[in-house]
Amino acid sequence: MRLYDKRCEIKFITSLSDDTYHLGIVSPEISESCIPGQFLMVRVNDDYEPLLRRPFSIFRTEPKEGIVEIVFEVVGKGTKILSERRSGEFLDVLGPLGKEFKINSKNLILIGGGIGFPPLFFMADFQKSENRNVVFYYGARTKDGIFFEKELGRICNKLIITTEDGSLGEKGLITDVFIKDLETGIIRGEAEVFSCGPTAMSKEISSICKRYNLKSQVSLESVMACGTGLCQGCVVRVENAQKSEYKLVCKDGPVFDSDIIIWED
Amino acid sequence: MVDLTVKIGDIVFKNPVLTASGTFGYGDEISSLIDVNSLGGIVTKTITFSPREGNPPPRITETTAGMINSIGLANIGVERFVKEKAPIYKSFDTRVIVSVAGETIDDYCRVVEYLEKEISADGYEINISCPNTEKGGIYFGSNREMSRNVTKAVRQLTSKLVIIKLTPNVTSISDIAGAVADAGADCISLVNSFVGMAVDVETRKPKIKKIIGGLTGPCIKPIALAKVYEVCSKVDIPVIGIGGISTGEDALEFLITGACAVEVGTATFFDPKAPVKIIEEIKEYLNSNNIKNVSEIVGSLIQS
Ligand SMILES: Cc1cc2nc3c(=O)[nH]c(=O)nc-3n(C[C@H](O)[C@H](O)[C@H](O)COP(=O)(O)OP(=O)(O)OC[C@H]3O[C@@H](n4cnc5c(N)ncnc54)[C@H](O)[C@@H]3O)c2cc1C
Ligand SMILES: Cc1cc2nc3c(=O)[nH]c(=O)nc-3n(C[C@H](O)[C@H](O)[C@H](O)COP(=O)(O)O)c2cc1C
Ligand code: FES
Repeated sequence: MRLYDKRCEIKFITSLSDDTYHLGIVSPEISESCIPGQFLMVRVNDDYEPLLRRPFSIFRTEPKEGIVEIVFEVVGKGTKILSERRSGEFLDVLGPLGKEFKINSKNLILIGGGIGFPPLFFMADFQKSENRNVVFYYGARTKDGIFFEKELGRICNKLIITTEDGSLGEKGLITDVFIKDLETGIIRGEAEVFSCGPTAMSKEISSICKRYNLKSQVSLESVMACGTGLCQGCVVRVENAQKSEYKLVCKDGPVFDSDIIIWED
Repeated sequence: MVDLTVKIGDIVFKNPVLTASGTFGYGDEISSLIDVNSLGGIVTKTITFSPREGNPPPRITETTAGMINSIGLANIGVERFVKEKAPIYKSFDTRVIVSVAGETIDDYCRVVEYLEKEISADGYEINISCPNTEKGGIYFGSNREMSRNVTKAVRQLTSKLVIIKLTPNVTSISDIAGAVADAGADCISLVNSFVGMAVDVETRKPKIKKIIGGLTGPCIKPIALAKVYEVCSKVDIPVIGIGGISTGEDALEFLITGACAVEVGTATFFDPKAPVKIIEEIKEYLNSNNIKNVSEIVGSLIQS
């Protein structure tokens, strides 16, 4: 797949909540070629502060208009600066990067925790015209952390929202609700799980899937300097066929079969 | 037309801009983004005799206008390098310098011997300056005798270009530079990264697992430049300047100070096209100042 490094116009930037933003950039090349699970490296300004680009999963594309979208949460200086950029301005964007989610089954269970939902939204949206059964678990702390639930409801066969405070959907942790559904046998037949969220959640989902014999893929996060395999900075330990080694989250991932990941504490 | 070519030893580089070791992979990673053939040359990721998996994560953290890394010379080892990567270089129309490191002098020699037998690189950059390994690396580069001995040993093995890459983490870098020049190095490159550290005050943990790593990027440029000045004043062999170079102007500062070429590192991470842009900007500068040959500005610093 070709990589593009272009100065792209900001088509829109809108706030979805106090600290969450929806950004659309114009990049016909990326929009046309990217697939779910892939990400972009965005330079938030032309300055040396911050120095490095920031990685964001692709949330949606509008190939007809040549638009690529991300959804991001302000957690530090880079995302703060990005949130203050305005439409009509330009950003250096590198992508599409990384390995995608690989679909092998007709029944898909997508699990998105907090700001981990964007790549799974893309996946649901991307394959909506295929004849698959898509169940989407979407968890956040409160209802203010749940976005695009109407769209998700439309493109998925079933949407299960969970909030820790019970302000929307089922009360509790997304992992607990998922286990409960597995226990009560709501999820039947062969299904594949795809997840993205905080590391603790991903780790838990991975161990649940192992226990219930479900194949699962996970999109991981890591601090990244380059996003292209140059720096060797973004490693995660995996164990595959008795061989333990480091893999690059940016190039070998960010999507991995979750049973090969060695989760560090 | 300006002449950008520079000659180091017997090797002619089409322009004075190379990629720095460890910041451009093996040269094939982003070839769809930048045309490697437009570069003066590439310096590969440092190769050791046996593969190294590198240090545990987190390996990198950002600092003000810079970053700290503790990659730990993760590399595929010389055997796989020769099999999997070297064949790609046959199609490259640019100079390829293989960076080499080891834990002992014998180790350095084994890698160079292997490469001499198997491939035809344009030269070697001997990394005696990596701050991220337990043995070898920086321990060679901070000791005058060891620096001399490793240079001598490698010199005896090859007639190709031998570049010795120095660490700035020493009391007197010109002292070490003098020793490696006397021992037969064709060229000196500097600087490798400065030792650095960062702490997360919320968790009170170091931001990288190995606690101390190597600081690079724009924040080190003035310190690196001063080191290049010091070394250029001391030795007569060519010097390659490295450290925070991100724009044509940065590169020109090093050339004017006396470096005959530069290597671009961290800049390639945040701007993959930086090396190519730097070449263009040097060309523009020479054009607008009516300078025909880049060598005319090398060491043209006016010290009055
Ligand atoms: C493949 C990938 C896809 C991602 N997709 C999205 C997305 O769709 N939406 C989104 O909001 N975020 C996403 N992230 C996380 C996002 O890149 C970070 O939140 C961002 O880099 C933080 O930058 P900052 O300058 O605001 O924070 P900093 O000032 O750099 O750091 C602030 C805090 O965030 C933590 N942090 C920094 N970088 C990361 C990181 N890469 N992962 C996790 N924590 C980090 C730091 O440890 C620190 O505690 C993704 C990360 C990766 C690796
Ligand atoms: C992630 C990273 C990995 C590096 N790996 C190597 C290496 O393998 N061998 C080496 O000689 N230098 C290595 N370096 C040092 C660079 O080649 C260069 O000397 C240093 O980064 C200073 O230049 P800069 O400020 O332009 O990056 C590495 C630097 C970084 C940031
Ligand atoms: S972020 Fe540089 S190798 Fe992955």
